[in-house]
Amino acid sequence: MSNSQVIDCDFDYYSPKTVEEALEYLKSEGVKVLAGGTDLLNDIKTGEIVPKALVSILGINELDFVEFEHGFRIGPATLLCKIEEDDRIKKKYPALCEAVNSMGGMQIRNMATLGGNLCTASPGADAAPPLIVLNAKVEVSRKNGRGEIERRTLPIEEFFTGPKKTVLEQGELLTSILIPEPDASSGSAFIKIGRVKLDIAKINCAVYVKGEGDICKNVRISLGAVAPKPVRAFNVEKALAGKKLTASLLAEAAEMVSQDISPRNARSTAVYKTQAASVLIQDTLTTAWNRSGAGREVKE
Amino acid sequence: MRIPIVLKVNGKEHSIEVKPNEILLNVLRDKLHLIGVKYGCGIGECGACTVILNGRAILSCQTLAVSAAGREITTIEGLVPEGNKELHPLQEAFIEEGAVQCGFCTPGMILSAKALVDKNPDPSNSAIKEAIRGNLCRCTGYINIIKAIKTGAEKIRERSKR
Amino acid sequence: MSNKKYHFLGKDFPRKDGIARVTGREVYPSDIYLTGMLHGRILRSPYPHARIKSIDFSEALSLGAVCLSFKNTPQKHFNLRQVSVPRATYKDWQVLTDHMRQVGDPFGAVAAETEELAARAAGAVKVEWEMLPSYMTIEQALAARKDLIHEKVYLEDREITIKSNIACTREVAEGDVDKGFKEADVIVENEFSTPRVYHCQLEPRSCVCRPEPDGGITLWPTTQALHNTRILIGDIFDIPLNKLNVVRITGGGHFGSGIHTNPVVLITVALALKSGKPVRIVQSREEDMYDHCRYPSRYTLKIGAKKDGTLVAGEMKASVDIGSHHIQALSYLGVLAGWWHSLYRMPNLKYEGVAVYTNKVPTCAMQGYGAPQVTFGVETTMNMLAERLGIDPIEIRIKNYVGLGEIFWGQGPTVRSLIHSDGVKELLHRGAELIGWKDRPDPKTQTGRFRKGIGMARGFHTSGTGAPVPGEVKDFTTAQVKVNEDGSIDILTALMDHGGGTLDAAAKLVAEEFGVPFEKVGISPADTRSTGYDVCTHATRGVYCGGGAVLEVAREAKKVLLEYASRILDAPVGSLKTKPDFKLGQGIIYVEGMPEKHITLAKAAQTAMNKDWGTAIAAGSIRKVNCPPAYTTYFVEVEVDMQTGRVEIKRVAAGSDAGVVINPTLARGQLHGGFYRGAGYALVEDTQYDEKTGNLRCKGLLTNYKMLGPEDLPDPEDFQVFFADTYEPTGPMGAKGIGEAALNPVPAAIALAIQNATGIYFTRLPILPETILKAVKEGRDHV
Ligand SMILES: Cc1cc2nc3c(=O)[nH]c(=O)nc-3n(C[C@H](O)[C@H](O)[C@H](O)COP(=O)(O)OP(=O)(O)OC[C@H]3O[C@@H](n4cnc5c(N)ncnc54)[C@H](O)[C@@H]3O)c2cc1C
Ligand code: FES
Ligand code: FES
Repeated sequence: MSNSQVIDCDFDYYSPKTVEEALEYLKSEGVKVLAGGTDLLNDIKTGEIVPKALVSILGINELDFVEFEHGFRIGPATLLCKIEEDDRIKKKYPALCEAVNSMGGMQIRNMATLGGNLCTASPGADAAPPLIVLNAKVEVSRKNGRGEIERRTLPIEEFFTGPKKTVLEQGELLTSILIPEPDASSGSAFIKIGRVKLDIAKINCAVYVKGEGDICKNVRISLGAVAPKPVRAFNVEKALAGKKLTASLLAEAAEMVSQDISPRNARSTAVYKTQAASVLIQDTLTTAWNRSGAGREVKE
Repeated sequence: MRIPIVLKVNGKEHSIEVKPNEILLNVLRDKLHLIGVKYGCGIGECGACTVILNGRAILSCQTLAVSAAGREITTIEGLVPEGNKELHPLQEAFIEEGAVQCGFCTPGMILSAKALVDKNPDPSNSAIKEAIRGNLCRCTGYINIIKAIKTGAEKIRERSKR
Repeated sequence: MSNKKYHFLGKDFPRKDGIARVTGREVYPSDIYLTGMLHGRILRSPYPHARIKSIDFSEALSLGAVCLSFKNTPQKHFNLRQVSVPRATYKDWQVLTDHMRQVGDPFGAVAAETEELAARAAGAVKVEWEMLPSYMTIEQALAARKDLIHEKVYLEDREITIKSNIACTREVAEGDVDKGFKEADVIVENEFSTPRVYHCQLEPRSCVCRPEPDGGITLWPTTQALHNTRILIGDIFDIPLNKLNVVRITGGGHFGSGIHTNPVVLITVALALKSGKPVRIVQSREEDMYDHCRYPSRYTLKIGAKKDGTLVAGEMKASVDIGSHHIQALSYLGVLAGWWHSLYRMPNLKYEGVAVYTNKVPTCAMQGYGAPQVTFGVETTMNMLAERLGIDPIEIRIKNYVGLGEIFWGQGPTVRSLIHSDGVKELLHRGAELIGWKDRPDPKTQTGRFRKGIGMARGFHTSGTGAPVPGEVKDFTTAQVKVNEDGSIDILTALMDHGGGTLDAAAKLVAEEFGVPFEKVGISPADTRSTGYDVCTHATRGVYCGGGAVLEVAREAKKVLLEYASRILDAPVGSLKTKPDFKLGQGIIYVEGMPEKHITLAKAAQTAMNKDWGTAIAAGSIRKVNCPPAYTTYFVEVEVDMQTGRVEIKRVAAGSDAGVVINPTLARGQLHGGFYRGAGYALVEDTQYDEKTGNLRCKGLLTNYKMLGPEDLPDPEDFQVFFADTYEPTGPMGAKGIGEAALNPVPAAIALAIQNATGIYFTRLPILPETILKAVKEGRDHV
């Protein structure tokens, strides 16, 4: 039985001021990144992780930023509450804001970071589906043998490799999240179903859609908690792309989600998740569609 | 590893030494004797351990004491400056509206409420519900708590007019 | 009946413990820090059924920990729950044993100077196990012939051999059921089941124990029953009761989890005795979830009615999966019959109950003690009967409910009492009006994705367990009331207040009786040395039995005071009256008809002191000879999403017949809280097991034990509470209870609202979206 009252293992603690310094500490095995700690400290208390040292990244200014200059860039150490409070994000990327707002209670969002949510890589991580449909990329940094910082950038879909698994290796740090400018007449939305309002997702869904008149020009749909990692609903997207969006087409297309997902019984049943996924896609897409242009609605 | 830190709690500075694995909740209770901060779950689910850190409500059970060094912490004990006999309007409202039953959630709940009304002086039902979503109260069913936060916010608005 | 004649009853006053609680200064057991205190940690089984071959403490000892195992503790058998009389109390518990009967069963403990060190020491203890077959369901348990969960248990001093893991059985019969069913025009029969809900009182069960120089101990436990704790500990550890002091301290919620003495209390005592130092154990949330849960239920219920809706016969067969130990399942089996029988008149009835041990968390009382479980099935059946007979659900209830002038035995067949007040019709009619009952949807004609449903259910709880003839349950309260020399009054009693305002209510009754301002009545700190026996604050008895006892004792103290006053005022006692003088902030005693002839309470008490007459003081033990039903009704509106199965609670109209309402705001709070826990019970809460490992699926982490939050509940404006205008003639100034009644009908009301929306009757709780959606897709009208 775990003990949530105390942490009974010893570890060292560092709070570097620069990425450079942090990367240096992270080279050694057993050294873990500590951001908000809302996932990591629980994992330590339940004994899933026994770290040698923690490197707190909350004091690193280079990792805590929200920038709109060169496309939208956001630092991984940005607190969720800052995302939620940012009107620019709310306007341009409502799916991300909605996802963040659905996460935990106020205290969690005041502590937890966006990067922490991605790096934990829980199959139901709420920030993942919106970032996936928004075509986000992530920047990963490490120190090479010569002590230079190397950075690589990859699509966020490739970042996740399995339940609680990412491409990150020991010594690496997620250093930036980049989100392209959304197209004109596009919209995004996020909806989650939990067992109760405050919950990790039974299933969650984000949609990005670009319309041209009645035509669904471009649509991206992502779901969480229905596979080992967040997935795209490619089959549904294919059935919708380039077509005139009607409620019946949407309903029909959404059914195809069963080919995109492989749910387990976590927090619900696989059968339910499959049925709910279809409904969730319809609801989320409808909301995103309504946002994509003035007064447009999905017709019967 | 032992790290000397300064914890600034309720306007007072405490120079102490901690190990990195020490949790803020336990340090506040065991070393600074602030028993208004409660343990309810230890994993972020109940909000009983809520304190205000640099103006924002956070969970002391999910915070290492070293990480809180040098930042301003307010606990329920510091809601009203020491020596001030009056209660905070939210505290008054919690009593008046019957928002207190066993009282174990109350300190955390009031701190969440304070963090809310500091930013939103006239919160709606849904804003209040959202703000206290992370505070479990097993006794009251939340109805009187929501009322109390509204009443408390109103008292604060009235006091600031005066 | 109107409350107008009262100065204090029916009016709101700030609760006396309010300031301590809003300022963080209230001290709970987990907040006690004593000089030299050690922190304890309990060692628990990782396996559902196993025996310990050996324990190696050497590493823990080398860390400096005090170590305790079953080898160091008394081996006496007992039952943790002491509210029943010995002849009805099975004893299967020991402080510690080598026989592990559930994951989380304690076999030892360590204590060290810090919690961290204790945790490390606990982690360093090595155990060799012998695995036994585990029984995770009733069926598995009943099929077992050897390696039983308990081989032998005790009833008084009799040894009882357990067969097939059956802990106990109970049968009740009245009239002739076969004949009754023959007379019935319709018969409805179903199986119902309700889950093992976890109390999740916000403070985990905890205890502090300090050994005293005289060989005694002082205890600060989480408990609902000071004296039962003392008597049990004294008996187990052979400590004379005059050296064993249990102190009343606020607990962070109980909901029934403190009626029995918690195992953590016994272990804390054992550690303190072994180490000779004060010891505190605060259970982690995880441990707490392995410590107790609500009794689940599974029962078939068959009820027959005549065409006009009159019930004629009923049969109920219940099997209860009680988990690893008996926390008084015998009385639980009794009340299952009691709640059922006392909801609706049933001339012919047959009940069979069986309690079965399994390798799960032990079950105990939780708000309602079987009533929500039974009310769920009975109320659902009433609606089914009403539907079959074409009668309005309210009408069939009014026709059959057990009300004024009738005998009922809610607390089981041995606790029978007569009903003297009854607000049921008023509650039903007002609730119906508030919710818009007559415009409720017809499930058959609803279409569309989001469907509205209105459900109603009624229920009750007994106000205590008193009855004219003592039955299986003990019920009395001891109190002392005295008038101080400044005219203030002290109440001393072991009665507990779990947050509902029980002690404030007692203070109000005394204020009313003496005619002194409420602020002048104080509640003295209490412990078992200074107080006489009080059974427990449970069974919705706090105000009616506890408050009632305090009031009767206050009347005795008042008699003494009036006698002094009569000497001073030179007027016969019979002519004296009291009333509050709010300007003076005092109570005054005056001669009726001659208001100028008066004296303050302070003056009277001072004079009595200065003249050596004495103090106006009284003490006594009072047993109530009734346990009037506190009735409740709930009308609930929900909206069901037919495509996702999700249920949203839109509106609630909660009605309570509590007799004269003493603390209106706090009473409303009882209904809010009861509804909240009942709704969670109906819709999400459950502790499930992994059958392979025998472990809780959630592993004791709240991450996967979900409860409703504020956003899952209606807005305050959509939650109406109202009270019936009744007066309970046997109650203190007309009052009865509320407590558990506030929850009892809630799951049924929600289930029936969902039925009204979807056309589907649900017979299993919790009603998850998964279940609803499946039933909708399969086109069922009943699952
Ligand atoms: C009560 C509660 C409710 C929650 N509700 C939700 C919810 O609704 N939805 C949801 O998705 N999650 C939820 N979570 C999970 C958690 O809060 C989020 O995943 C959060 O975003 C994690 O961020 P953090 O900063 O706290 O991460 P941390 O716990 O600090 O770190 C998480 C992991 O990421 C690694 N890490 C962090 N930052 C970096 C980086 N920049 N580079 C490399 N590795 C890094 C850490 O080493 C660690 O392994 C909840 C948690 C709790 C306790
Ligand atoms: S104790 Fe910190 S959230 Fe429960
Ligand atoms: S008042 Fe008891 S938990 Fe909120």
